Amino acid sequence: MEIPLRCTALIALAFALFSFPERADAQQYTDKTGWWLIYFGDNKLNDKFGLHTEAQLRNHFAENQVETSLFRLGLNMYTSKSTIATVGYGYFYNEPNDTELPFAITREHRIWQQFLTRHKSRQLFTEHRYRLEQRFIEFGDGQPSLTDHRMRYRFQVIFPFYTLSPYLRHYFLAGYNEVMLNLRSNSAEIYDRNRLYVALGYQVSPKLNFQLGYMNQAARQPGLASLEINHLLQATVSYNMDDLMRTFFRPADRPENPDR
Amino acid sequence: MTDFFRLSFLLTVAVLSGWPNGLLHGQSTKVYSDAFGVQGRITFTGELRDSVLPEKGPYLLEWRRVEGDTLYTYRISGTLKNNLPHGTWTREEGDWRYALVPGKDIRPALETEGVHEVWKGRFEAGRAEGLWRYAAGAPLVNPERNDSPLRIEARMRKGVIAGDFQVTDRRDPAAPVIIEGRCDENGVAAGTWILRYREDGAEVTERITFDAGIAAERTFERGGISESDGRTKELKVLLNAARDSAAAVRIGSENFGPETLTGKAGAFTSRYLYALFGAPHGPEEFPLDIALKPPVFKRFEFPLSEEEVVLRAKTEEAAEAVLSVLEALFEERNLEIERARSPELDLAVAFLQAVRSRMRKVEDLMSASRDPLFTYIDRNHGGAAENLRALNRGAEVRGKFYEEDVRRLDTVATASSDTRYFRAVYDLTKAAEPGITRCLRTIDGIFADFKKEGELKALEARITDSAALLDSLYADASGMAAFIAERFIAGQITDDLRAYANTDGYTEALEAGSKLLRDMDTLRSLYPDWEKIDRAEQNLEEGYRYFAYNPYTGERDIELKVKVRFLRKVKTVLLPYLKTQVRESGNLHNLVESTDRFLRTESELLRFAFLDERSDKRVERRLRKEDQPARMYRIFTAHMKDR
Repeated sequence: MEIPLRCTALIALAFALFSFPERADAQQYTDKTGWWLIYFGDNKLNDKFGLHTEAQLRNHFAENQVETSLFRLGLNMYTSKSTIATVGYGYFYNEPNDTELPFAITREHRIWQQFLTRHKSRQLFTEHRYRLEQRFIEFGDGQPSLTDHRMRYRFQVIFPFYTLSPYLRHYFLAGYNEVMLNLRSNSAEIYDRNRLYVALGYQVSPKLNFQLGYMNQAARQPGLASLEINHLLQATVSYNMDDLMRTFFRPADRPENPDR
Repeated sequence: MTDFFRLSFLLTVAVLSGWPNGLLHGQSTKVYSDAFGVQGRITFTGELRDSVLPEKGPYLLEWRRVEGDTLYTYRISGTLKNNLPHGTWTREEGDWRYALVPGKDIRPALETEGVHEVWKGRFEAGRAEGLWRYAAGAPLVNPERNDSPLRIEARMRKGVIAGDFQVTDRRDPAAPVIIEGRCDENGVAAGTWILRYREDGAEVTERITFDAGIAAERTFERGGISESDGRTKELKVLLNAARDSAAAVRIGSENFGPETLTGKAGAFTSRYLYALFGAPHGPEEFPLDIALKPPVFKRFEFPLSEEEVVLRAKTEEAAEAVLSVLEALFEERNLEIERARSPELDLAVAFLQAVRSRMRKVEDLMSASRDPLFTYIDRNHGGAAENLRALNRGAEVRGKFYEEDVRRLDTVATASSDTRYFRAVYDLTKAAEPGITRCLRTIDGIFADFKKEGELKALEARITDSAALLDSLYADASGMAAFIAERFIAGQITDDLRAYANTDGYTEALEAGSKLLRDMDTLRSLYPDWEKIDRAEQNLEEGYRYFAYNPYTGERDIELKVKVRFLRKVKTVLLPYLKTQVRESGNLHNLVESTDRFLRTESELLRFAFLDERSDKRVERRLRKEDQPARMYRIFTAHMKDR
């Protein structure tokens, strides 16, 4: 399934423009800085199934922040050449590193379902990711546990530089925007957060790449009237022990060779 | 009785018994004391202050001062008006020496000897007026009587002698001195002064006739023989000329003292009228300096002519110009340090130092000529001649290190009577300029040689370093580098070094050396390229492999087996052709060009691998079929120029 480049760009633009509904309400924003260290892995077991693994360390040793440790495990089902369906489990552990912060230690068990479609043109690689989450949250301060539901949508673009020059072939530019909405009846509680991300990447091989980028996260925090704005330095390593990227890129990028 | 108490006793007796007191009734008396007892007292009316006399009324000061074995006593009395002496005043001074000698009985005898001086006359508003008398002698004198050994009488007006005066000194009966003279109303010597004295046992009568304060005529009468001063005629001529406003001489307005008069007349005037009559001195407690101003004298003044003023200005300008050049030269260049390197430079520096010294002297002389008294000197004679002689001193110049060389500065003939002072100095100043110009040229030339010498030495050092570096770089060379080492370093560079060593001229050496350096730098910078050329085929193939790799698919975007024929052609035809061009480069310029062409082509060949438009494919097919390397190169470069 391929869509034209211009169409993809338009979708991305529209998504970026409408992904901050609260900002128009002149709410107060507070700014925080932090960093995320992320590992992603998709490991194909056979033509139909594979494993998704993920680990994230967020804001460890950052000042006045909530430190988060996150682990996900999922079962990938390769439904077509460019689509993947995944179901999985995630465990989250949140702990504020400052006693002044109005957050308690929380543990979260999360079940999630995801559908991912990939598209590519000669210059761009785009990806739509839809995800549903069932969240079971335990609070460390004795409050009753909470069960919550959330849906997320992420639109990602990757621009490999190899089309510009053979000398830049390992480098790419990546960017995405993701919006998360709570499934609640109270409309004021629907918006959860939005993430806007841009990064420079280095593709070592079809299986391995690194990214270093900036993420802007606007999150609604429980009990806070204003959105919390996070300016995050994000370092990502992706290691896919399968031929996902290889099979995805190969057919279109292989030049026609008249000598064949 | 100690000496101290003995002296104290004597002084107290002297003060209390010697001076009348109690005569002035209704007045105040202030008594001063010191270690010897009563030192003095002042009897006055009204208020007594340190710096000014009382306002009015009678005034009496009695004082004594001890210096060594001499006792000085003073008595000043008169009346005051408006804080100034007004009316008749008497002033007395005594210098007494004393000794205690054995007496006729048990008591010692006090022996004293000394001189008593008295001035007596009238003041009006603090200035001497009318007849004043002075007398001096021992033990006591009275100016009203004629028996004093030394008597001086003078008619005063407004504090100066303005009328007749007479001096009679009979202190040495064998050699009395009698002077009679007159001053005009301004105190300037006038009329005829008659001086009678003895000289070498003979009685002399000297007559001096003053004209406008100048001793115009002097005659001496010895034993009935009269003789006239030799300068009388000349003085008359000058006096006549001085009355002509257009003349170069005039009677000066400045007043001069007795030194203006030569001989006995000057000495007597100084001694009697200046040192004795005109300079009463008293204790510091008398706050007014009363002077009886003695006669003054005039001199001829030789004012500067307009021409001389212009000459002075031009001289100062010329000297300043020379000095500014020389000061700048000595400041900017290390002449003192460098002068030992060359006899010519040594002598030139010595010469310029002498000129600088002379110009400073000229400036001093010109500056001194602005002193008002300068015009009272006949500047064409006397002191002026000495000034010119001073300028001539140091005219012979020798080097500091090479003393055998001598150079002479211009001099002025000071013996010439018609030499005019300012003209002479100006001519001397201007005369220095050509010599300075020559010296400056010499110094410039020598320093230019030094600079050239230094530049060539620095150049040679750089060439030596560069050659050593080049040799070490190419020492173990192989492949293309070995060829270049043999062809260019052992060949061309060695020849160029030899040619440089045989160059005579500075410019030629500089050019040859600079070119040599450039060439060696070029060969050094090219060195890394030789390995690239040697490995060109291998590099190209590796480059194809590297750049063909697609990190997103893990495969090569370019199938090498497709490119293998093209690569083979390039390796067997195009690259050897380009290598041959490098090897056959006749000179360094061509070598640089051919090397650059080779490397540029190699880079373009890599880029060409990724071009996959129809035209690129067409060119690739053409190149594969082409066997002519030159044509192959042309086709390829023409195509890549557009891509």
